[in-house]
Amino acid sequence: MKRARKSCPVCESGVRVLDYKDERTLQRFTTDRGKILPRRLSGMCARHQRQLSTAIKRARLIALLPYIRSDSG
Amino acid sequence: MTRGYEVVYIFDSTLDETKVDEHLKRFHALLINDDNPDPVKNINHWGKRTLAYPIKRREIGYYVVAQLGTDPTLLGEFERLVKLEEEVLRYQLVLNEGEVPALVVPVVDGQDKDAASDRPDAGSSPDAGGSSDIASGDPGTAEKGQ
Repeated sequence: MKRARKSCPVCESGVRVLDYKDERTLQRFTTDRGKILPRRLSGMCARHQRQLSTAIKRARLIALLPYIRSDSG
Repeated sequence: MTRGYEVVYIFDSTLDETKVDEHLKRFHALLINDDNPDPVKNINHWGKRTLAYPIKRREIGYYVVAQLGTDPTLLGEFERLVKLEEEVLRYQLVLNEGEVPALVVPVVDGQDKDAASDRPDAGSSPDAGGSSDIASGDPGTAEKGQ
């Protein structure tokens, strides 16, 4: 049986645009290594996944988020 | 033509706030022209923060976020000066054309009050003014910075 698609967590919170300066929110959608979660895991709609990807890349550039986290942290 | 931009500066953490202000004044002076005598809309000093990774061997940076409205033709010289300044560890300039318009429907004496909620993605978006804790507006922005 096909599993029901998760609803977008950003849409649910009533937010239209993701901010690249809000690293705490963005961090929720990265892996332990710092990679961007794919849609199938983040459960986001296409619009917000696109915004998330841009926002995380911007946050990385200004050192709010790491490009990669090593095992030691 | 004036466009809205947002700049994030990361200064060397050894600078104090007055020195940072001096730098900002020098940078932003380049954005002034006759049409737009006051390009700076807002400046927010975040202060010292630990960087997620070292930049130029610094672990801590002094963050400043500025919202500017300026003519795009003036940005070349502005970016050149910011890049030359060694006390700026990094900067990022993005187009910030404001928040997504909250589908402002001209309401004439109570008519069409619900028109904005007809669109599936319109709905109740309190963040349209950037007030939400998850997000503030930065839609459709094009990256210009480093």
